[in-house]
Amino acid sequence: MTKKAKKIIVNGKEYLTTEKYLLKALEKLGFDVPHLCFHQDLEPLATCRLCVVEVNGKIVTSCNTIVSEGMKVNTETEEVIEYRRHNLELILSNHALDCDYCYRNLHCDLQKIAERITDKTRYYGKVRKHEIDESSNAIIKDFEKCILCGRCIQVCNKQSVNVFDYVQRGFGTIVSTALDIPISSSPCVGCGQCVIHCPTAALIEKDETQKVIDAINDPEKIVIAQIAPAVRVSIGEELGLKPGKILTKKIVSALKEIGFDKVFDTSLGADFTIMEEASELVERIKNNKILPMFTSCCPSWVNFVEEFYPDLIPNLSTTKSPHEILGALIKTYYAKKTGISAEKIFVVSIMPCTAKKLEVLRPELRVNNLLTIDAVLTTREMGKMLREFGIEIKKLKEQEFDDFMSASSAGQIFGTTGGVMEAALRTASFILTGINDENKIEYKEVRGIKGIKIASYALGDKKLRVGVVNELGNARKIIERIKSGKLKIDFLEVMSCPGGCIGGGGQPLTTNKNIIKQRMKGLYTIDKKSKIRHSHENPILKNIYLEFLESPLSEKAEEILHTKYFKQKQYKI
Amino acid sequence: MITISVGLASCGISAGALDVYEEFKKQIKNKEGFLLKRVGCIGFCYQEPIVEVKKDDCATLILSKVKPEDVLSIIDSIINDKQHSKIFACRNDGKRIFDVKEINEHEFYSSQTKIVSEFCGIIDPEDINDYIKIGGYSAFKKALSMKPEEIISEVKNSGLRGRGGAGFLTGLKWEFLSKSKDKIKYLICNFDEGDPGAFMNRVLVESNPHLLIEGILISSYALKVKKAFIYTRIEYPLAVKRLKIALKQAKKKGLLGKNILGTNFSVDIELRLGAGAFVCGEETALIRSIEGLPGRPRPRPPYPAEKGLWKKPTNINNVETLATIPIIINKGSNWYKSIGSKNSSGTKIFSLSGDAERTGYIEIPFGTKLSTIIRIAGIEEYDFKALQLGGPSGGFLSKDNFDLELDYDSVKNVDAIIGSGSMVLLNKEKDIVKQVYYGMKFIVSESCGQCVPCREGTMRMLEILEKIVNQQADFNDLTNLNILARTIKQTSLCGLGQTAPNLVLSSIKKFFSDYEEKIKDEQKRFYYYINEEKCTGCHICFEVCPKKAISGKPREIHNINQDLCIRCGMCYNSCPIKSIEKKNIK
Repeated sequence: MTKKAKKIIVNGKEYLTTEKYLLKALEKLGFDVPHLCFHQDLEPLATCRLCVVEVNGKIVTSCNTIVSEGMKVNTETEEVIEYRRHNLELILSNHALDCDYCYRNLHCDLQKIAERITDKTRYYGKVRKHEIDESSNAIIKDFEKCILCGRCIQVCNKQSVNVFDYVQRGFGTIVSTALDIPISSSPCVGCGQCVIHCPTAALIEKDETQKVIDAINDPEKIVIAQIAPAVRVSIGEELGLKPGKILTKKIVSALKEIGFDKVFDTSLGADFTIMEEASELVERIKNNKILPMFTSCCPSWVNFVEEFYPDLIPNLSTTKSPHEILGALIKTYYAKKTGISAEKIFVVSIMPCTAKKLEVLRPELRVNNLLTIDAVLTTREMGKMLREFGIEIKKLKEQEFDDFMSASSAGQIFGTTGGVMEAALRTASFILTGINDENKIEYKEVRGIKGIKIASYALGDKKLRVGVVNELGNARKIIERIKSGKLKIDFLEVMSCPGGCIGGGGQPLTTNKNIIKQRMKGLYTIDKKSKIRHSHENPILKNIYLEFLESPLSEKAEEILHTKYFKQKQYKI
Repeated sequence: MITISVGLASCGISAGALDVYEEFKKQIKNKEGFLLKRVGCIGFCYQEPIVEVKKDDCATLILSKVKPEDVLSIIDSIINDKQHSKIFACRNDGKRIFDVKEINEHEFYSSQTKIVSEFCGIIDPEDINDYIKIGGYSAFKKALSMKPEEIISEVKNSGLRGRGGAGFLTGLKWEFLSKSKDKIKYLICNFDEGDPGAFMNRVLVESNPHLLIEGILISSYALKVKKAFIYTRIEYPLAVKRLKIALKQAKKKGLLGKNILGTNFSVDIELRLGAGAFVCGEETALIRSIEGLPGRPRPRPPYPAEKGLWKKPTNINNVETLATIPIIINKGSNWYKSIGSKNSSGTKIFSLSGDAERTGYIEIPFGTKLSTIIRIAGIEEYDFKALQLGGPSGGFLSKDNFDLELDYDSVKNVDAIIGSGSMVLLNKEKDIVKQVYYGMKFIVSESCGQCVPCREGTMRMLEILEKIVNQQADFNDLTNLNILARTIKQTSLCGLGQTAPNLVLSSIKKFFSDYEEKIKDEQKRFYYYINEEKCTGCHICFEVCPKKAISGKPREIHNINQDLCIRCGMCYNSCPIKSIEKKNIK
C-alpha cells in the first residue's frame, strides 16, 4: 500500500510527508522535537506533554496529532519552548536527581532532554515515595525514578502479560502491579521489554556485575564466560559503535582482559539444542506424539506457557536452552576432561536477556546439585564492565573462542527470530533425508522481523508446517488459533522479544525496530560467511557426542540436556 | 379532595421531609378525601421540607420548612380553611382564600423561565402515569412520525448547545454521528455530575426521570441507536433508584425494548454506575469506565463520534441537553430559539449555593444579567464579592460584571465558563485565594494522574497557593503560579487539566489585591532604591525589570518607580556594582 504524501508547512517552509503522526513526520524531516513518552515502536501515549508544537495557531502534542494536508506547524515559538520547559521542570521537580551515580547516567532519555532544554527547575515540593521492588531476580523497579510515561504499561500489554498499570490517581499515581504486589508475585515473565522501553532508570535489570568481579578476584575460582549470539552484534553499541557491528573476536580478548579465564560460545550450546530438538521433533512426528512442538530456548516464553497455558506444557520441547546446555556441559564433561572440580568453576552467561536471570534459578536445571550458571550479565551490564575496566574496543586484538568450544553458524542465528527454526530445519532435513542440501540452506520464509510467519517445507517425504513468532502478544494470538483448530502446524518457534533475542530485554539502550533490523543483518552476515552452517556438522559437537553423550536423546543426553516444566500460578499470592 | 404533595428529592429528604411524609401518612390514614403524593423539588431548596396542598378548586398552597409536629395543625387548617404560619406562597390555579404571595411574584421565581424543570416538584417521579398525564411521551410519539433527519435538523435549528460545559452545538454533534455508516452506534447520557456545588442534573432526574428517558428515546431514534447508556455515579442513590423505577415502568408500557409502540424502532437503555470520580465526566474517561476500564481519559482524536464506546461511533450528551429534546420536538425549534440570547438559545438550570439567602436551583434564559441572579439569590449588592461560575474549573464574576448578560460566549470573554451550571456566591467577607485553594485541592485529588502538567503541575500550584494563604510567598511565587497556570491550561491532555487553572487565572486577573495582601510581610516592609552616587547608568537594571519600573537613559542615573515595583529583586541581583540598595520602611 503506497500512501499519498501530504504537504505540511513547518516553520514557514513546505515539506512532504507520508507519516501518520506529526512527531514522526517532523523527526524524519530533521526537526528535533523533544519527547519522552513517545517510542517509535509504540502507539502514542501523549502523557509527557513535551512534544508540544503549534499547529494552525493551537498548541497540540505532536506525537498524537495526525498529519493533515496543508497543516501549518511551528516547532519553536516562544510559547511552545516555554511550555516544554515548564513541563520538563515539573517532571524534574518530582524525580530523584541522583544522576551522577544513577544506573542510567548518560543513557537516560530524561537527562538528555533536561540537558538540552532547561538549566534549572523552579518547582519543588512534595515528592512521591515508594519502596524499591527488588523481589524479582530479573527486573528491579525503582519508583522514585519513574516519570509515569506509561511505556512499560503499553509494552507489557503488547506482550499480553499485563503486569503493570497506573495505580491510584492524581499526584499519588504510581505505575505498579495489581494490588501493588511485588513483581515476583505478579505474572511477570521477565522478558525485560519494560526495561528496554523505560526512558529512565525506573525499571532496570538486577545488577550482577559485582558478583562476577568478586568471582574473578577469587583465586580459587575458574571463571568461564559464555556469550550469546545476539550479544556479539549489539555490544558495540555500548561502546559507541554502530548497531549490527560484528565483534565476536574482539569481545573474547576484551573478556580475557577483564580477567575471565576462559571464553566460550553459547552457540555451541545452541548446536546441541538443535540436535536434541530436531531429533525430538522427528521422533514426535514419527510416533504421532503431541504436536505442534514448541521451542523452549526462550525462558520468558516458557514462563508464559507455564502461567497462561499450562495445558500446553506437553507441547514444549524438553530441551534446555543453549546457555543452560553449555553450562551443564562445562560442569560435567569439561570439568571431568580438564580435571577441574566443578565446584570451582564459575560460569557467567552474557545474554541479551533479563529472563535468563530468572531461568538460572530453576531447581530442575541443576546438575549434580550445582547451579549450571552462576551469574547472568546482560549486554548492558557487560558494557558497563567494559567501560569500568577502561577497555577500548578499537585497540583490542581479535581472538578466537577458547579452543574446544566453538560453534556452527546455525547456532549463531539463534539470536534472531526465525533463527532457531532455520537451524532446526537444516538439521531435521538431514535427519529425515540423510543429506545436506546445499541449495536449500537458507529458509527465507522464516526470516524477517514480522510478528507471525507461517511456512511449510517438504523434508524428504514429510511435509512440515512451521510457525515463527516474535513478541508474546503474537504468541498468544497464534496459540489461540492453534487451540481453536484454525491453524494446524507441526513446529512453532517463539521468541518473546521483538525480533528475537537481538531485541531482548538485556540489550543496549536504545533499542527499536530499526536498530534490531541492523543487528539481524549482522547475524545473517556471520551465517553467510561461515564454513560450518549445520549444527550436526560441528566437529566439536560430534566429538562430545562420541566421547560423552552417545547420541541425541540417549539416556545421558536426556539427563544433562533435557528438563521439565511445571504449572505456575499467575499471581503467586 | 385534598392532595398533599411532599417534596421528596434529596434536598427535601436531607431537611427531614421523609419524617413529614410519614407523619402525613399516619395522620390521614383514617381520614377520607386525602391523597398523599410524593414529588420532587420545585427549586426552593432553602425552604425545604416543602409541602404543597391543593384543595378542590382552591389555589395550591405552598408550605415551607414543615416539621412533623406541624402536620396536625396543617391538616386542621386545610380542612377549616385557616391561615397557617408555614404557608409562604400559592399557585395561581384556583381561587385564593387568603392573601398569600403568588409564587410567580416571588423574587426567587419571578425571573425564571421554567421549561425543562417545569414539572419538577409537581409530578410524582416514581409514577409514569403522572408524567403521561401532563403530556409526557407525546413528543416521542410525535418524533416517531418524523424522519430521523428531520429531528436532527430541528435540533440543529433550535441552536441547542451542550449543557455539560463545553457548549458545543448539539445538532452539529448529532450530524457527525449520523454521517457514520457503522451499524452499531451508541448513545451515552452523561449524568456524572461532579462539580462541587452542582446539583441541577440530580434534582432534574430525582424530580422528573421520565423527561430524560423520553429525551434519550427521541435522540436514539434520530441517531438510529439501538443501545443507550445512562452513566451516573453511585453517590446519587435516589436518582439511581428513581431512574431504575422509571426504566422499568417505561419498559412495561412498551416504550423501551423491541419494536416500540408497534414501530420498527427498538432501543434499550442501560444504567451504568461509576464510583464518583470527577474525571469520569470527561467523555473519553467515561467511555472507558463503561467499558470496565479505569476511568482515565485518552488523547483525542479519534473523537467518540468516530471511535467511542467499544470503538464504535458514540454520541455523548448531558442530562439537561437530552431532557430539552422532548420540549423542542413538542413546541418547535423556532419557539425554542426565541428564548435566550443570540448564540445561546433556550434556558439553563443553575444551582445556587454559597453566601446567599436563597439557595436552590433556578432555570433562567440565557442573556439574564448577573445582577438579576444576585437578586434571585437574595444577596445585597454591597455584600456581594464574587460569583464562582462553573465549579472548581470555572471562573469568577465580580462586581464589574453586574451588567453582563450571561451566555456561553459572553462569559468566556470575561474568563469564566458556564460549565455545568454551578453558581457559588461569595460575600465580601470571603477570601478569594482560600476559595481558589479549596478548588485546587479538589482538582489535585481528582486528577487522573496520566499527564505531567495536570498530575505534577496542579500539585505545585496547590503548594504555591498554600504558601500564599499562609503568607509565606513572595512575588516570585506569584509569577511562577501564573506561568504554571498557563502551561497547564495549554498542554494538559483532557478537559480536566485544561480547565484546572481557570480559577487561578481568573482570580489573579480580578482579585489581584487578595493575593497581594498575602505576600510575605517582609517583602512589603522594604523597598529598593538606586544609590545615585554609585549608579553608572549601565542600563542593566532597566533591561531586567519585569515591570518596567525603572526609568533612565544609558549613561544617566536611573530611578525606580516605587508604585510599579513589585520588589522581585531582579535589579538588586543584576546590578554589577551593587548600586541598588534595600531600605526598610519603618
